[in-house]
Amino acid sequence: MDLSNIIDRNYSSKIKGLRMDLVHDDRANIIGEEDRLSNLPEDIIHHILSYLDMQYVVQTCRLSKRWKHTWTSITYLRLNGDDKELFPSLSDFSEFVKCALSHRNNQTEAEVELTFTGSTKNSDVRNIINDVCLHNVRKLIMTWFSRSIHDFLPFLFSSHTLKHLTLNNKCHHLSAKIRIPKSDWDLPALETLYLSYMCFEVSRDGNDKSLSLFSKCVNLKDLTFHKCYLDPLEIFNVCCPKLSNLSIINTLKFPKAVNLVAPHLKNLTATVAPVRHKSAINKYLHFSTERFNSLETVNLSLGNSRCDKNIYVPVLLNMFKKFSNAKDLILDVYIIEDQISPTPCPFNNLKSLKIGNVTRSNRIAKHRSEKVKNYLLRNSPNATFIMNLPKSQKRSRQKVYTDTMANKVAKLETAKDEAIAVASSLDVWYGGMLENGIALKNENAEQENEPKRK
Amino acid sequence: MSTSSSSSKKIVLKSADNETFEIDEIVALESQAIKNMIEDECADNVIPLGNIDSKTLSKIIEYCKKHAESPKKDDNADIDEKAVEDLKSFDAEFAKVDMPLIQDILMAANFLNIDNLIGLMCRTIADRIKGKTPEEIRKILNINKNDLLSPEQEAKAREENSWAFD
Repeated sequence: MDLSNIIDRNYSSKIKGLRMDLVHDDRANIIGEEDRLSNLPEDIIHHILSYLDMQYVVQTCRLSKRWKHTWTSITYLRLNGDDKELFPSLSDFSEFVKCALSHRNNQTEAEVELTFTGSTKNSDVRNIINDVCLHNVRKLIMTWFSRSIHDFLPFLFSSHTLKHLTLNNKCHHLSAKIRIPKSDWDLPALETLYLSYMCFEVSRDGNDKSLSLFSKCVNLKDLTFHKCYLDPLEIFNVCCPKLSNLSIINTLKFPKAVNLVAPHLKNLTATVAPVRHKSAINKYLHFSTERFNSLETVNLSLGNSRCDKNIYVPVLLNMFKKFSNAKDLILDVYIIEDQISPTPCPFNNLKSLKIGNVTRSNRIAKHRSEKVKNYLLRNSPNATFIMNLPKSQKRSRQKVYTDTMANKVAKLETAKDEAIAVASSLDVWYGGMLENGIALKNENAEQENEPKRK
Repeated sequence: MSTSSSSSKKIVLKSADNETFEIDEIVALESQAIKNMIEDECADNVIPLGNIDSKTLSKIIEYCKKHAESPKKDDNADIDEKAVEDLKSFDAEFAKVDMPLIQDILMAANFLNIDNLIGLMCRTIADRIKGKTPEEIRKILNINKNDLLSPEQEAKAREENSWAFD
């Protein structure tokens, strides 16, 4: 008896009285003998293949009759050009991408994870991206490494099938700027956009310092800027009628003003990259928008960067006024340290206030945040208050050990981020004096990595 | 099996080899299939799982317990990173079992509809066949010998997809 058929039948019939004891059959015979995996539903096989790079997926065509055509119907494609053994040059990879996309059954929409090293000045890179754009792709996650300044390809920003786009610049050195098309991105189906380590460059004549990109992205719901460099902008216009979530995470520099037109915005997150260097961040997010009426959750964090309080405190208090309808407020302890204000409490009806990032060494901050709590919750007597205090209760030895390990890892991560951010900001200040040094370092690192890959 | 001291509602699962497992309802809810049964009020005192043996079922319960007691990711933007790390290392340890058991867990997880566990098992299988020769993969996955391609057919399949073979 084919077990998988029974499982399938049971599974799909979520009917009342579903019984799972139908299959008392000859299971003993099955163990160790049956090719159980091949009997599983196709979508499970596809799920397994979704974790493999495309070249390994295609090679499963030789395994058995069952597997011969399985690969052609996969919907998640990992196209990884960084496997230098298989793709010594970009043109090899370009050829592979072309074949993989054209041999796959294109009836179903595909999700593509594309990884490579090279800039768009290279015609192979252009061909690769062009091929991907032409093949019924609904989701594209593109990760690349290139040390040179390059333009982004306009045709990537005019897809009518794309629902999800992630652009992940792996070169964290800010001299490797990516120029993105300044005209409105024509992505009407797009719902999710995630941009990481992108630098928004405006025209070099310096006259036009405002930027609008998303007014044609009428279906955009989730917009994330991760470690983006938004500084050269005077005004950043974000006009998205359906936008529900906006996250500006670990930002290195904010634009002077963000003009946000998003009547349905529910969740807003704005955090600053953890940097110790005092002037690394001199201004915080500033909205020129009047008010956010449907806003529910606001999450603001300064990390440990020491902003000039005289500048950012008024900005923050001004921003609070625009969030007066928010229900849940999450603040890190650094942002509110000195926030006691004689002005009336800006929040009308908070349901919860959470203060995070409180460390043991920060007892004073704890004391202050008590005052802040009283101030922010003045109009919201029923709100819950959560403070993420460091756990100092009795812990088992094992717990202490894992905690310290986790802490160490976290600290290393933070230190790494800080180092990158400091290096970046220093570099910008000194007009790229460090550029050569860092580029050289990257080069060395790459050379060290090279033998490992092989 | 172990019984938690809390007074929350209990669910009893019975394996193919008639072993019973009493677990908290919250643990059982990790399975979308059991959740549906409970919501449709067709879960009797004991839920018989006639196609899952006790070895597999106890592994699955171990997984569901851990995941049920871990804070959910979408609770708050301020995720407890420690908890995430802890769960990751649990998953890594959990997957260190032999291939027949992995396939049993995968089939059972598919049956019980436990999304995270399906993903973990699929990923584990993918990791183990990555970069292996067809012969090695056939052995790892225990692919049915009656279903193999003839040498000519295999050569043809390779020919058709020659662009992906070096």
